[in-house]
Amino acid sequence: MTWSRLLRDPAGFLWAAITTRGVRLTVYLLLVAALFPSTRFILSLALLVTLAVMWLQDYRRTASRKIFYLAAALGLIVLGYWVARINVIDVDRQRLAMSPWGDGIRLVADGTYQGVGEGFRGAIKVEVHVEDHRITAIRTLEYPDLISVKDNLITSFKRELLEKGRLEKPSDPDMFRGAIRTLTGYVNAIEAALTKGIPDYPQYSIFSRGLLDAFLGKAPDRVSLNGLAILFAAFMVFDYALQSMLTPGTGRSINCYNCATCVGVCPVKEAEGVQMPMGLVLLTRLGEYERVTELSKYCVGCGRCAAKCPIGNSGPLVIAAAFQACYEAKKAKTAEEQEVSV
Amino acid sequence: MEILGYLTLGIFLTLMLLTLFGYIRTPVQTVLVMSTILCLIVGGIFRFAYSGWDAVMLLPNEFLGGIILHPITALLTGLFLAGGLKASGGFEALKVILRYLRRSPIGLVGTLVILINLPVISSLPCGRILAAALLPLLFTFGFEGGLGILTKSQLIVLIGAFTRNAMGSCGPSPIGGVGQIGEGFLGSFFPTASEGILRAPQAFSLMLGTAIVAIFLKMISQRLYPEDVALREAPPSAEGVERKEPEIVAPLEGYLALAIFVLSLLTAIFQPFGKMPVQSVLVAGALLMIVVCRIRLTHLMEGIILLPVTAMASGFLAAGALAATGGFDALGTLLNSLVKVPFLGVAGMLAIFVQFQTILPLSCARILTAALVPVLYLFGPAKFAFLDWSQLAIVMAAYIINATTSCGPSPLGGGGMMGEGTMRAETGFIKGAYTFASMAIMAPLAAIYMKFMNLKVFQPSDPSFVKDITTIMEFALAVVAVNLFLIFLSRRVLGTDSSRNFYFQLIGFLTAGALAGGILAFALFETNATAILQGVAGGIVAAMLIGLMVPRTLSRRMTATLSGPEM
Repeated sequence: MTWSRLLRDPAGFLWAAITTRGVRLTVYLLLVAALFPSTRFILSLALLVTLAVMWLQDYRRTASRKIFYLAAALGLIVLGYWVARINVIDVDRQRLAMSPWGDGIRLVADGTYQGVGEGFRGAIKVEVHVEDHRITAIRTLEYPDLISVKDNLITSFKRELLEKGRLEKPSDPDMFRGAIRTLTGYVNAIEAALTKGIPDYPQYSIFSRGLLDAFLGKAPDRVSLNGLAILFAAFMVFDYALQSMLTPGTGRSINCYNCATCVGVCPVKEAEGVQMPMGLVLLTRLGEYERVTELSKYCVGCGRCAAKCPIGNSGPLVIAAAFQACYEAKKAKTAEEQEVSV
Repeated sequence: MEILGYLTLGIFLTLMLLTLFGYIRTPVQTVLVMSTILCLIVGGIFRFAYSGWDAVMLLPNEFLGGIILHPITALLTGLFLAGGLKASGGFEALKVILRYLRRSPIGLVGTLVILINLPVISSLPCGRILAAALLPLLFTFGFEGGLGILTKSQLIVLIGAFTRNAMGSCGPSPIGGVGQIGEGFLGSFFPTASEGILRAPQAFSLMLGTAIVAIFLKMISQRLYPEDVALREAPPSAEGVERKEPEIVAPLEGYLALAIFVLSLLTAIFQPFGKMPVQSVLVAGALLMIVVCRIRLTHLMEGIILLPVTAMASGFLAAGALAATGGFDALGTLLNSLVKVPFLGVAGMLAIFVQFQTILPLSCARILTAALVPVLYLFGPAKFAFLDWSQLAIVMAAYIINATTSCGPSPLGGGGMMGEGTMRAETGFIKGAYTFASMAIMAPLAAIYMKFMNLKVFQPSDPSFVKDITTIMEFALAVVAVNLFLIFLSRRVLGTDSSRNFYFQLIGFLTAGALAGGILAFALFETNATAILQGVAGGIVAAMLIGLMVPRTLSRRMTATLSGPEM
């Protein structure tokens, strides 16, 4: 699959991309990373390691230079990370001097501000009203943690905050910032809202935000790890089913019950450790057409499997489809090689 | 609006029955999705007519609420792990271990007993995982497989018993097993139900049920269908000839994969590093296999068996659609009306209900379990209050083991077909043995185990529960003895006339069903004589429905399944 084909034959390029498992996996990976920031670091790492392993093997086999490009890209990312890190440290130092905590409330201009913090079950959104450099009202706009955390913690914290009129460490040590994730998220949301009222409040550079957001996202936690595991499982089964549907003649294999009725009537039954012909049907689901054609030499073509299969799968038909798929792949590869040589 | 519930229930049951009897010849998942769509369309029309457009808009959310993601993803990740194990030679390592066992003092018989019970020992989320890997190994014990250690008859028993054990092991599995659906509902009352309240009753009854299956296959099935197994017996010239056993060599990666597999399972079950989802543990295990055992992502995919995954997902969809359109309420009302039948009552109705999935065996137990466990839950204090919580747990134990074993005898691509394929038998060969064991042994014993053991374990604060292993053993011995007597008796009266054999077998089923129903009623209502008699009546009705479904002859039935009913 060459990029020049994109311009020459966009539909063909798109079809080739869809029928390539690696491309599907990459698109899925990018989609998950875009939707769930807390998975970005793990996914970036997984992508990097996978590419490194694959391209290192390519280098050993064909002296392909892709591994060097990957190393260069990695070098640039590391360099960019250090530039961003310096910027973040500098901004954080400046922010410390302009913090809205305690007396810092005098820096906050009068007005109503909204802020977001991360709670246990998602984003907590609050609206804070400041008047005469005092917090006079706090409205909770979004609070998904309500079902899991006793609300009296937040209620008493809010009451205390309004009595003092400024953001301070709560008197109850249990309520100290960081004691529980919900309260931390709530405090962060108020702090974020107040900082919006501070004129010239230092901001991270666009480069730092972009780079860190793209490769690190949010810190991964147990919830995002489990989400990732579920998404991984969902993709695998989706892709497993898709493979046979995208290849002409193998779509019926998706219905295979794995019941081995065909194995019972097949005169061959097993060849090279593969149950015949059920193994052939299952191999087409994986897209292992070469292997199917290798094993096809054992099939006697009697068609008993087709007569017995409860959903009408047939060993000989699957073999024919695999030959066709191999032929198509070979044709595409030859065309690609010719194009490259030209 | 009540009529809507009856309509959607009618659609669901009609489609299921038509599929089971071969009138609809598409995979059962397609039928389930069809049923979901039809139910939703009918539900949408009714809602629009009665409550307007807003009520229709709520329908998708209500039916999607029926999907329980956890068992689906847990099953998937379990399959990945099995795929990794297979690709890295883990099953070869297992074979080597089994070979050492054979040479140990427990010998061949002891090893075969362990092998037959290996599925319930490992309790994977789908019995097909282990069956697909080990059935070819079992085949090698016969003449055609090369070793020639076992005769044709012995091999039929071995394969049949192993497959029975496998197609039931998804019940007690703590990593996405079917039983977890029931445990989730019992969790409303028993605080630690999710830690396995249904696990031990299922495992216990499955082991005894497997033994009965072995005897049934030996004594009854082989006499009923003598011409329907194409396995070859060793020719007289080959008898007594010592065959050289092929050397099984497992790679180091295989042993490592086996170790990772076992560790992942133990971590998922015992959670030594704090609470973490099963899926995360299993995916981590699978990824570790990729790194340590040098396998590829495709190998993990190789482990996927689509049938149980899609069956579960489509079963949840159908259940969600039924729930959203009042189908379960209708079923509840129908069963409630059964309670009012004098000779059935609550005990009789429950005796039929627990056998429902054996009466209607689908390719994966999850399909109907997802739909029927909520109905069973409604019999408890949540709605109809026929049962208190402890009685609900007893019925749940009996129902779940019966349900999880129902994929064994299913002619719709059930797991038992893998065994039939391996023993070269016609479809339906194992049906009698499997349904008999599920109905007569497993369901009543699971109920007894729950009553006399697990309720005490899972609710130790209640002094009224007893923990009595002796009583369980007494019941187990009595149940097994009666059923063995029936099997031996049947063996003596069976002849060459298939119609006569069928009726004798049916009488055996009815007797065993009556006993099972009576024991279930005793477990629920103790010495209440009326309830026990009602349980017996319900058991007979269920046994009649199950017994009539056992094929008289096999070939004709197979033809009907493949080519539709005769015109």
